[in-house]
Amino acid sequence: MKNLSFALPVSGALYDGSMNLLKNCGLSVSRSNNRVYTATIPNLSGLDVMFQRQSDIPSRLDSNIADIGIVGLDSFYESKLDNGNSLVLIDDLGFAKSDLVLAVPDAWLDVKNLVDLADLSFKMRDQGRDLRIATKYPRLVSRFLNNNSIYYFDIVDASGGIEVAPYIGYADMICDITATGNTLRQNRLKIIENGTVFSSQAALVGNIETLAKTNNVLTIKPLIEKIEAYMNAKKYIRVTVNLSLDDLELSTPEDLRSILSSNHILHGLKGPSFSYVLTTEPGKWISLELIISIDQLLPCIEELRNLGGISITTSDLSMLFYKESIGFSKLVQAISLIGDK
Amino acid sequence: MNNKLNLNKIDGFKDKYSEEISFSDDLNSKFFSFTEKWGYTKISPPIIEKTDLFSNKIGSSLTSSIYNFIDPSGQEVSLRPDFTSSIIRMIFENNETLPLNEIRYSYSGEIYRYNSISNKNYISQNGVELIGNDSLTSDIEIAALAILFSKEIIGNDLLVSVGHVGIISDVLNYFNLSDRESIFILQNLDLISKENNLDLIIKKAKDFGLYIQKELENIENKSFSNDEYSRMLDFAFSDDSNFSQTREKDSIIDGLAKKYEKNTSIEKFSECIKLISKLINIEDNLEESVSKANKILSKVPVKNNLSDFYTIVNSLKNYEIDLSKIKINFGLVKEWGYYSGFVFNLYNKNILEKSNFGGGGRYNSLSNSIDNNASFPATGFAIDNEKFTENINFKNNNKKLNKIVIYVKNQIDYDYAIKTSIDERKNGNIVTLESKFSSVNDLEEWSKNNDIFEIIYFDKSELIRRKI
Repeated sequence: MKNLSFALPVSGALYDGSMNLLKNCGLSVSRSNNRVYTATIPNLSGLDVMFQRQSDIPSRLDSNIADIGIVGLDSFYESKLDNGNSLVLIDDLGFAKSDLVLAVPDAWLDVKNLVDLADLSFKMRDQGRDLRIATKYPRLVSRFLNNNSIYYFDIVDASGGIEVAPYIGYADMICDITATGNTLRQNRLKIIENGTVFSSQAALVGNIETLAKTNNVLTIKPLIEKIEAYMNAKKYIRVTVNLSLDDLELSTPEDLRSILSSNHILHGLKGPSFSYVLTTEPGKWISLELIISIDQLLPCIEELRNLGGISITTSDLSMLFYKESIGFSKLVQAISLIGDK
Repeated sequence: MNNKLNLNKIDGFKDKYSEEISFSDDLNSKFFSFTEKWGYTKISPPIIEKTDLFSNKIGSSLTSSIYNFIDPSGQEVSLRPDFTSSIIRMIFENNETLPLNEIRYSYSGEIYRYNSISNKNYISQNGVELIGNDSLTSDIEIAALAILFSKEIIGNDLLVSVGHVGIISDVLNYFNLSDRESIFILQNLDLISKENNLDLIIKKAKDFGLYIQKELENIENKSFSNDEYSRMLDFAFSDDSNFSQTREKDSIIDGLAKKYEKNTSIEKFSECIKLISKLINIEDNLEESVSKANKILSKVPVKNNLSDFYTIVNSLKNYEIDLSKIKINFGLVKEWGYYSGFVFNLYNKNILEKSNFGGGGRYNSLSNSIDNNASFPATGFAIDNEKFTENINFKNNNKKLNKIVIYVKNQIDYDYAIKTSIDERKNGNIVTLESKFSSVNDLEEWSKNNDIFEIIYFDKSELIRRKI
């Protein structure tokens, strides 16, 4: 049986991020050298990797050449077919984050937001021309502007270095990807308020038609499960702490329930687990282990200290599996809908 | 089709077969025959034009629905999203000045607009354009032509709704609203038509980005802050040639100044909304509707739009059109900025929920949007043929031809079959030669379900006919 094709970006932040992600998931890509555009994942059988320009990956999926891929959401939504077979399985892989923004020359004091831009488009129309916007994302930009009742504009298709378009004069303003806004500022451009067309990051996308075949679904399941579990794990941290039951005036560890039930921070994912500490110190000591949201780490430490906790340690989780994989369930549901058609 | 390259039909388009094509040809033939008697001559612009022709259309909200692509020469082109722009272009291209007479054209064909909601990306259209006449007679002619042709096809199921963009335009001008404020109102006429929605409308207007404030706040905010003055002056006197851009400084300063002038007071905005709400809620016959509108618009120094509207609709009587089937709708405002005067929509009363099947009106600004130096009046209408004929069946007046199949089992039969087919075709029959069936009986069985009139076959050079 033919192996499935896993399309990965060939270069840039998406390439680096994809390689790191897969490595961290225990699915390192084995590529003989950088000039070879195919590779394998030794820990995942039945799947071949092919490296593609990220802008080509959506069409590779829609045309059934690739079965699954990692792509920036901006490229995906710009290029995918509206009624195509590709489906986002995990939309927050956490790298290659950027915003697609509308930016105007900073000299345009009269344009601060989308409303001002709309007014300017009317004014230009009255003067016999339309606002020209240079962008690599004509579909996303046109839809965004139309949805915001801006109709009078021309899209100037541009592929690189478009920040210079207003200076050269082939466009009045631009719409481009930015992570920090530095390049825009250096080119004397400013982002307008409410002018974020799209917030993008890397995503795992699949072709529901080709994955619909039973064996393909099973082949792809470990990939989705592991990536999702790795992403889940990044949001949590393991905390261990030693507590004296005597100091807390508790006779058994179960008596901690009443304290934990009224404290959502210490409750963690499903309540802590415990074990006895073999210590030479007097009294009963237990060790608690909690899985808590990483945002709650410092408040959690404070709460544990308030309970008299000592020797508080933390460790990262490598994977966190939920009752079921959301991405895989999404895929199975989409496949079942195809079957209904 | 389960093929490797996924060559299935593109969503939103349709494969058409013989029966539907005949039906469509029949409708087109009736349309051209009808409009020819009114002096309209056929015209057929190319299906592809330069993209700029369509993107410059005034009031166009089609930007993201046009099929654009780069042709092999590198030129950006589009599949036509309408006929009118191409027809205006043809007139520009072939006439340096507009002829003295009116130009009357009729057309038929498909237009292409991507529509992810309806999942129908083409419209099969018949339509006409009357160009070069700004008088009411041409408005009347176009409306009468559209109504009478539609009536001929769908009979008494036809309903017509009429309005006049100029009437609401007069109201908006009276209140001195900006383009964006006007567009907001026109996009929200449904909401405005309902009573007691004023607070909701004002909230929505603010969400839309309109600067609507109480009169007092408005006055206070009209002055510039020192910071704004300082920035304006810095900008006006700066000269950084390393960072030029496409707008003149005066334009930017003018834009900044206007930001403070364009605030609309809630009082004025509310009064405008209330007046428009009353106007678009009028539901009566022509005389009563116009009389009520006159009262509602008593403060508004209206131009002649209301009286023009009355004259146009009332004159349809002269074409023996029953005015009781015509609904007066002052809220009928189609494609703001494109249509500029009298407008109408055509409906089939049996499929009202599926919106209008056609419509038209006056669009005097289109020529100007294509060429700043040229301006000529135009009016017209178009019909979506598939919606129009959705639940009707034409009587096929053409003589039905007999279908005859000649069974060919070997080379000798083939020679006889050729000669026979020539004779039968001369007799006016449809003849096909069939050699794939293993026996005449098999062919006969197949013929029973395929509208075949007769089978011919040969037995030792003897011609045998078998009626089905």
